Amino acid sequence: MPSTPHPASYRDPAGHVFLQDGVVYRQVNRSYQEDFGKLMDSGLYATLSGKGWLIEHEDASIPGTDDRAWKIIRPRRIDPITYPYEWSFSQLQEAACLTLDIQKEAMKVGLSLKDATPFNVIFDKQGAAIFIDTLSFETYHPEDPWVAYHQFCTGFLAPLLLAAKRDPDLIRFLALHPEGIPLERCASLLPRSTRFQTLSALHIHLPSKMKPGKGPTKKIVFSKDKLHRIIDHLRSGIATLKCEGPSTWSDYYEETILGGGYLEAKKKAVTELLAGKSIDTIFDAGSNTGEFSMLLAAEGKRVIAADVDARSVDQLARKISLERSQGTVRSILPIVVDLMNPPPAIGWGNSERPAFLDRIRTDLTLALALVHHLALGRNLPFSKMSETFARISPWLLIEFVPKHDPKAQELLKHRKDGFTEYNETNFLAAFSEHYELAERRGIQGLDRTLFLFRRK
Amino acid sequence: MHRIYLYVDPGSGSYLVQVIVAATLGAAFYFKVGVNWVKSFFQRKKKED
Repeated sequence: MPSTPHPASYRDPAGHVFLQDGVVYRQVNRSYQEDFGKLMDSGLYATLSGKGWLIEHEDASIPGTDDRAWKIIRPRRIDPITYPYEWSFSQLQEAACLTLDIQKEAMKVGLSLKDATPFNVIFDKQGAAIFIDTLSFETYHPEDPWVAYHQFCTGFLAPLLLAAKRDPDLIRFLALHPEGIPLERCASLLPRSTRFQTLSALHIHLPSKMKPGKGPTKKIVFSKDKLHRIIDHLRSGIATLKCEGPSTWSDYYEETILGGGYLEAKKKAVTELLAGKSIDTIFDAGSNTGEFSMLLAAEGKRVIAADVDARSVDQLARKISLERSQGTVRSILPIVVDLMNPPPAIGWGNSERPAFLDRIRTDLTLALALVHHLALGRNLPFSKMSETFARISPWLLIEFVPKHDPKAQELLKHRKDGFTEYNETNFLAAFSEHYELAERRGIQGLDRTLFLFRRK
Repeated sequence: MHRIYLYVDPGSGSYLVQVIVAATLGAAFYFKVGVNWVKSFFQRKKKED
């Protein structure tokens, strides 16, 4: 059966991505032959892929999807794909800096990025940003301004400023505006003070006030120096942006009865329960600041660490990025996801970017100190938890928090306790529909229990 | 009210913006160079004294 282009890969006349027998390929069209040749022959591809900035590829000898095909390449597979609206602030910041750094490298050899959207960057299993659109490079004409400047400002700078100046969750706004947040909308949402800060004043407020139209009638000649000035200004401004403020979970262990012995006992129990099992990949649902993700990654597991609290995820993302720069690589991919409302399928025909739960598959789902939040905080029945977790992974390690637990009581403090069904017996009965119990273990010092389930 | 220009390529408007931004940043750069030159001129004078 002939392959068809990936549903999200229709914009670029230079080529497109397609899947064949589960392998991702990229078709390079004849019209892009010259620019592709420059990317490879100038040494730019080798430089960028050598630094880990640009995805590596190999030539593939399979036919393309249509007669425009000139060449087929097979990029290194990255799984799972996460989208910018699932990233934390520092991840989007890292992706923005990467895009600008690549543009500067490209300009050195007479090439330039024709696209600068955050959707051209993904994070690999070690949480490092990689530029994936090999066909984004075109011949650079120094007398012209940067064709991707507007896209960069709407796709990167606007959400970063909204996150830094308003709220880190505004990065999620990119799901509503995957083509970039309109500058006028961004300008109206930013605080007044940003009109007097050069980064936002020059690249957001000024262009948001300018009427697009015919443009200058006389051709204004641009230069490499001028573009360097713009890129350096964006790069240094973005690198110094900060998204500060307390997170929901950041002092979770320190300020509660859960400090000290409990955490150590739980870590020991988790390690022992997973020992000897053939579990390589883990979805840490409700990862907080990544205590357990770090523990399991240190044992050689690949962890996707998901939490609803953007600041906690950001703390983890910053930590692993810092460690990477010091030479320690952790297999952790942090993401911001609300499990009660995971990102849906978006784009044309609902088929450009698949829903979150259709992208995430791991050997184990880890749900520590989560059940009471979902059941008592959000009224979610155990049966629904069981059904969804069983969709993600064949193994489930879940902590049951009884109703008399101080943390469960905290959730019930301001609401009527109608949760008569919330007990361990019903919990086990609901999960036994999709799973069989492999092992259980109490946590020393607290009346909580860890259950290791295996899907039926 | 938001003005949304559905039929205008947003990239084309960005050309003029970049010209203005580059000119502003250039002016700021030369201003800084000037200020630093004046500063260093007086500092040098001080040292010589």
